[in-house]
This record gives sequence, structure tokens and C-alpha cells, in this order.
Amino acid sequence: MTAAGNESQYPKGKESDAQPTDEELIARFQQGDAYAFDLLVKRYKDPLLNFVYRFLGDLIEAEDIVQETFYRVYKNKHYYKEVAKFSTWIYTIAGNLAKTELRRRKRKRVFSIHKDTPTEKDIELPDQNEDPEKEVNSVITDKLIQKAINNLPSKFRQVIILRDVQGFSYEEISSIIRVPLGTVKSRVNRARLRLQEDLSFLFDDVKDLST
Amino acid sequence: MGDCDRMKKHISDYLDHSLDPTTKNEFEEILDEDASLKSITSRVGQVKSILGNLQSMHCSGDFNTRLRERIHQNPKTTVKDPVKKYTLSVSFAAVLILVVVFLNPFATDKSDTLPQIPASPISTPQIKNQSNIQGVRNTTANSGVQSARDIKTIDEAKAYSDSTKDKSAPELKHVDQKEIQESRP
Repeated sequence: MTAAGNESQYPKGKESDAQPTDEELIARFQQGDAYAFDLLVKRYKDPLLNFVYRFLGDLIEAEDIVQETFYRVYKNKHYYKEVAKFSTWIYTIAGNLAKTELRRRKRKRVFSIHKDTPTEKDIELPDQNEDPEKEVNSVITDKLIQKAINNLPSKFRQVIILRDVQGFSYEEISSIIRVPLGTVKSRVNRARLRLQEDLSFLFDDVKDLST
Repeated sequence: MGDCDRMKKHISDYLDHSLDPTTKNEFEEILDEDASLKSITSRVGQVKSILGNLQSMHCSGDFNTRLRERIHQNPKTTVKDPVKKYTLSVSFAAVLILVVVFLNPFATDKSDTLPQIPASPISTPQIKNQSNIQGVRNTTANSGVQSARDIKTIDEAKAYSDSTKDKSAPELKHVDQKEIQESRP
């Protein structure tokens, strides 16, 4: 297990071990405990939002897809079996919805006379820096990175987000996207290589900013 | 440069500390010598780090409210009911079986055909006098069923005996009951 793999056992946004596990919560929800569903929503809404947002590049659409994901979990709660991890199940649903949205968007783009793409929309980022200059740089950097991610083919984009943004292990990614482990590793490596090429100018900028 | 290209596929595994010791040693040897591989590996490491530290997004404040509203609009959950699941397929199978049994297009109806009699080289003479039908029946001990073919007229019996007349064998004669009584002393 890699260092990242250790982190990946608990993807970002999950709560500590003292809390009931996801599998316990979904089991309670299947038995009619609505509060367990609320806890799952609280636990997963932000990690899912980040995953879908990085995949689509549009925050509003991403939130709609996260809503749809939870709605489907609610409606199809009996279809979950404990053979798989709950996180794998819910990320598979969200990933499939995001891919469907991406395909729909591509079709729309073909027939649309407008040239604006969703990636060109303004992204609202949370205010975390007090220094305005740093904040601006952070926003610009984030936009540039997001653009580079958007330029990746969707099969590379999905794995790199799950691996490096969400912190899942290769095995978990393999289960989520239903692709062999070796293929996942290969895709992650190729996605990283492609991003380092596309963002090479940014590394120089980062160096300049740090000096 | 060839080594660099060959080693590119191991960069992620190297950064994830998941290379086997032999490949890791080989990778590090080339990394020390090849500036290009060193640069790429460094950048890939930075990409990994940057992606891991991207700003986290948060759902809007009314996310839960909107979700709850949506669920309340259509609260029905999809429940797996095994009875409902299999009812349709079972009933379809039953109908299919009934159709095959009663309307089998491949089966021929033999209910009104007589049991086959072994083909005889002798042609059966036509019945000339229908009113002359008598109870000459070839009833056997084994067969309980008498078919229409077993009933023969006297003329038929005569014709049959004529046609099967063997010169070596004694001639078969139809003996009437009256003649038997008269011949008795």
C-alpha cells in the first residue's frame, strides 16, 4: 500500500472512525432510518461535489449532479449490497451521471451556434486567503489547472481526479470505474505526464511566486 | 533518451513508492544520469502535489433543503420485490408451454387414423354386397380392439381364400352350420 493509498482508505471529507461506517449507515437507511441517510449526505456531499466539479468544470452543474446522485441513492437504496463499499457505489453513480452530462454537453456543443464552453464560466471559489495578491494567484492557478484537467480525455480525467484529488487507491478506482487495475495505473501515469506537459509554464510561475 | 522513455511508465509507481526494488534501483540509476527524466519526474511530483492541494468546493447552503424537497415530491423508492420480478416471466413461460402443448404446429394429429397393418402383397377385393356383412371377425385373444377392417363379408372371405389358395394345401371351405347338422347321423 502506498502512502497515498493509506490516505485513500478515507477519502477527503469523511469523518473519523468514531462515527458509524458508511456500510452501517446505508444498512440502517435500508431499514427505514432516514437520519442515517442525512448523515450519508452530510458525509459525502462535498467530496462528491469536488469530484464532479473537477470532472465537469462547472460548479452549478456539479451540484445538480450531486443532488441527482443522492436522489438515486434514496430511490434505489435496496439495490446496494454490502459486497461493495458504499463509497465505491456512490462514486460510480456520480461518475456515470457526470459522464452522461459530458456526453450531453458534447452533443449540445455540436448543434449549438454559441462558442462559449462551460469551462469559460466564472468559478466562485471560497475565500480562504487574506492576502488579495495570493488569492488572485490562487484563483488563476486553480483555473489554469482546471483547464488542463478539462483538456484531458475523460477516461484520463476521471482516474486522475479520483487518484490525486480524491485520494482513492488504485484498487478502489478499479472498482469504481470497472476497469482492470493495470489499466488504471497506466491511465493515471499518462494523465500525470500529460498534465506536467500542459502545466509546465505554471511550474515556472510557481517558482517565481515562491521566490 | 531511450532509457528516459522506457522509464516514463514507472514515474507514477516510483512517486507512489510502489516499484519493486530491482526496478526502483534501475530507475534511480537512470534518474541520476538523465536530466530529462529527472525534470519530468520532478514535474509529475509537483502535479500530484498541486492536485492534492486544490481548493475544496462546498455545496450551497440550501443543498439539503433542495434535496429534501425533491425527495418529498417523489418519495417512492424502488423496492426489489421478487414476486413482482418473477411473476411476468413465470406467466409468460406458462403461456408459452400451453401454446406449445395445444397448438404444436409440428405434431400431426393421428387420433382418427387406424393402426397400421403390415402391407400385404394380396389386394383385398371390394365389397360387393354391403348387406351381406356377417359377423366374420378376426378376433384374437390378444387384441381387445376390433377395427372395421376385421369385419369381413362371406364374399370377402371366399375371395381371400381363393387368392391365397395354395395347391399343396387342402382347400378351405366355408362350412355352414346347417350342413354340419345335416351331416351328423
